[in-house]
Amino acid sequence: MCLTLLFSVSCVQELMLDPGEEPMVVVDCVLCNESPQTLRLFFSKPPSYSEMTPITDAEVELIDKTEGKTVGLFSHNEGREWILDYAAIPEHEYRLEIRVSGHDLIYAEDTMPAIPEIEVKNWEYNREWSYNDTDCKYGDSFVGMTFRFKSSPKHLWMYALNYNETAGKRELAEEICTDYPWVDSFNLTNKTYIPEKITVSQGVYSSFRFETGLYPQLEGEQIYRRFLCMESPEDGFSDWFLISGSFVGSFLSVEGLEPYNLQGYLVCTSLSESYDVYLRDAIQLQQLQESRKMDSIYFRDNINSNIKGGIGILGAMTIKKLPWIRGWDYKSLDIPAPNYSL
Amino acid sequence: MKRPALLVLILLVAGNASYAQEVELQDTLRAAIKIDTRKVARTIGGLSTDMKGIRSVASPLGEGDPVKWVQGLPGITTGADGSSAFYVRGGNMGNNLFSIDGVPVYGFSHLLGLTTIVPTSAMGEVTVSKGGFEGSESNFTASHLKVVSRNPGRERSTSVALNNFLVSANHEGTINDKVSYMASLRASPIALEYRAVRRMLPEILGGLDNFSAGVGDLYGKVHVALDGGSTLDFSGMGSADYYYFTPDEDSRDTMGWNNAFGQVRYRSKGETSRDFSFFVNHYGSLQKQDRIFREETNHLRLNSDLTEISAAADWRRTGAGSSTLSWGSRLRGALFHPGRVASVHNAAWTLMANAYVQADYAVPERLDLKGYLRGSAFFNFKNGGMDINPEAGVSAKWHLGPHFAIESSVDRLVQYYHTLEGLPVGWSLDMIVPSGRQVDPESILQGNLGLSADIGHHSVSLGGFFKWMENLVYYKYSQSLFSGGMADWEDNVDQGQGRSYGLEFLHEYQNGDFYTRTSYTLSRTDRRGFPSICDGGVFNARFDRRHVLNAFAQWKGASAAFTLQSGNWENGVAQKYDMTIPGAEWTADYFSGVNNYQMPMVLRLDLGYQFSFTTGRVAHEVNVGICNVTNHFNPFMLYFDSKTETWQQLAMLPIMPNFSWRVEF
Repeated sequence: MCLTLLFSVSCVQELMLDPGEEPMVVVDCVLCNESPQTLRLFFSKPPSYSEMTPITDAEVELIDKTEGKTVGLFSHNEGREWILDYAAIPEHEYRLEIRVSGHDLIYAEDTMPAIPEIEVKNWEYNREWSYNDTDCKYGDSFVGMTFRFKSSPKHLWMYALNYNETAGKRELAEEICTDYPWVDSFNLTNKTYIPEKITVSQGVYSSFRFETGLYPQLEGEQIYRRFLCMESPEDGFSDWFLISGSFVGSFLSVEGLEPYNLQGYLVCTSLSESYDVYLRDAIQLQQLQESRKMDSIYFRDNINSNIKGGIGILGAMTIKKLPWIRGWDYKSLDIPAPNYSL
Repeated sequence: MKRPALLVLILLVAGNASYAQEVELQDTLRAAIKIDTRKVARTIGGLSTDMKGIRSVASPLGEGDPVKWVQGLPGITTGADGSSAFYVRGGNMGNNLFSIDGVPVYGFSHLLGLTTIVPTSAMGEVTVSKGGFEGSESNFTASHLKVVSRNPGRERSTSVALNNFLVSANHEGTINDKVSYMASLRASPIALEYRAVRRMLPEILGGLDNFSAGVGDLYGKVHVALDGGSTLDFSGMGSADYYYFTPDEDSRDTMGWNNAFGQVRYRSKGETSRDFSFFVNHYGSLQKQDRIFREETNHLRLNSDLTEISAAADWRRTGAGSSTLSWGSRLRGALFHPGRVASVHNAAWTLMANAYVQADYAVPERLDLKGYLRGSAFFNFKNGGMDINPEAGVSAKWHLGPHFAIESSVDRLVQYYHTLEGLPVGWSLDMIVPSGRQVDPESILQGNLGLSADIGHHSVSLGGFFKWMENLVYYKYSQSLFSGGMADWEDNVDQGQGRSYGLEFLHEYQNGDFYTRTSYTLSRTDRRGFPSICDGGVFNARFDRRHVLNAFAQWKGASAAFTLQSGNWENGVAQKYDMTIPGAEWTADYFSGVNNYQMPMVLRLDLGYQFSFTTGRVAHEVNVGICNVTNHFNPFMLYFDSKTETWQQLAMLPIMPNFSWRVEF
């Protein structure tokens, strides 16, 4: 019976769709207003190759085009990593040139954005010392951290870091939400914010413990995955807004002080145009790769790259570390706000 | 890795439900056909054959069909090995028109491409045109594969045939002196065979726990001979292909397509012949996959429907000498449902109208000339898009003497129905969508120039062609296809161009019972100008096969067919690289382009033997053969294995015997 024969000998083979192209130079460098600058340099891996080979022999030059001078040469550190002890200057234009034997010149250009100006207020803290301040929209009953942009750059991203004791390093918090009105929805989750129940015991109530919720004003707000990609207001100024999520914070900054190891904190970054596009692409791809939707296997878009002669990214960003503490609202418990009289 | 029992998986992906449109309602222009003893008759830009030529083509079913015949001709490349897909001079699959007596058939593939839905018992003549078209042929831009049904015989006869995958019966006869009829029924027993195999040899079925299939077709025709040589024909056909299987306990695959049409046609002869016809036509397709992917059940589904109502009128006046003048018009309304999902019907009504005039002039044994002009209009009621386009063509054949001739043709054609290219790998059912306000009609400008020679037992033709294609349609967001993307498909397509050029060679030799045919095509086809693909740059057309060689030899009942073709192009990941974003690092893919991976070449040798005998009043015809004698692995399809998360290639035609037996009484 032919069908029998067909069943028995028709066959399947695994197929590696390898177009047979040579490895490409991968550049991964994001200039920052903090020293040092790090750069990862390695060869990509065609499907039939076993690994990506680090590039250890190259000339990597960073040029400040605004000032028209070379600011330094990256030196190979270990593995794929190269380092340059330099802090990039906001609003300066940079050019990266990489010379690898056997390859044409690899280069990219990007411009450092301005440092975001963001006003931070610990409302209870502020109220205790300036209790006549009435410009917080959350009212007298609120205790917590509030933020407001002042003349912000174009591409603003915020995220939170938690300290992972096991790993011994800070890691991105998975969930974050805000009541800031202009947030890109590309990394929305399907969740909404439900305030975590917390026990409060502090200040004049140190002898009084009670249950309340973490930032209850945010209840029902949509939760974003890892990042808030925020558009700045046209005039640069925004109203006060709150942020919360799956992080513990506890960093209550005083200007110039760095958070302690165990402290988590918020990060407000301003990105260059090309790095903003790259990050959006990359995050969407990451979400697809982790997706359980089978149609994700059909995604065939490349992540944006501004590297000429290679792939990867030369990005630029300025960073500002922000404090964050666990906040609550007396109103949610129908508890009268304390009557301060210093 | 070798895995048995996945034929059916193949099965599910193979449906090359193709389509094209408008139809010629006249018989082939006899004046331009050189009928000789060879099996392929040449017109200007076209080739034709009779049923004997079709049946002699080696195929898995033991006898050929029109598509298998076409796939061996010059200027034509094939889709996956074993499928019924074919690509003519760089055009897309959906740029071909397959018609039966002028009715377009969009899902002509049967049994996953092993054959076509038209029973051989109903066919009279088959012609494929690649250029030098007729004025009455419209709404396609690559080729017209035209099947002309035969009229029922005057004597009552019944035939029964059996082959590997189909059982068929045909009956024809007369009711009175003027009315004759024929009916044909075919059905596939593969589901029954599966159950028998499962009962007797379950171990060879591997994980194929459930398989069912419903494959069959029904054709009928009533021919009425009226006074004065006029005829009235009523014909109709229905076909269905349905396949269901569970490749493993977590997966279910369903695939199917169907065609149905009914036609009334009146023809009269005389100094001015007339041909009036009316038909209703329907094509539907469904492909569905249920898969567990990363522990979550995924339901992916694609539906598509197209229903047409058409009326046509053609006249042809024979003038002095060998000149003829033809003119006519046709009107067609259509309802499209591409990507219908749940309550989203995605309906679009369209209306297409055209009128043409064609002149033919011949100087016997010196010159054949043909020219036509056609005006077409297309209106899409969904979004109000309106297109009016002129089309034209000229062709000529200059006989340089008794043995040599030069022929040339130039055509400008427009097509208003589009088959979406760029569907995800493994999804083969075609989505047919109409032109409209956002999507312009496809158009081509093509030409060819060739030299032919008939010397002794040899017949040779050698020519070159070019084709410029405009407004080809590419679906660019294949990952959104299953999540409502088709509802706004107009926003998700790119339109671009294509270029194709090449050389075609055909040689035939006939001496007594010995016949050979060799065809070779050297061509290059690309796509370009799609804004979101390769930044508008050039990339390979998917079935740009640089070299295509087909050879066929027959001596008495024995035959051999050989094909050798460059591999087609698929999408491959060129590079992988690690990338970082704040807080995460993972590996990304880098795609250097579209259709950047060339599949291995296709090689197949088929052998067959045909013999006939009679027992009393019963005539028997038997075909036996072996397909893919060398058991070369010719991938039929690629699919994504959701468990191993790897791409797999599957061959449908390993070395396989074939058999067909036809009994007529």
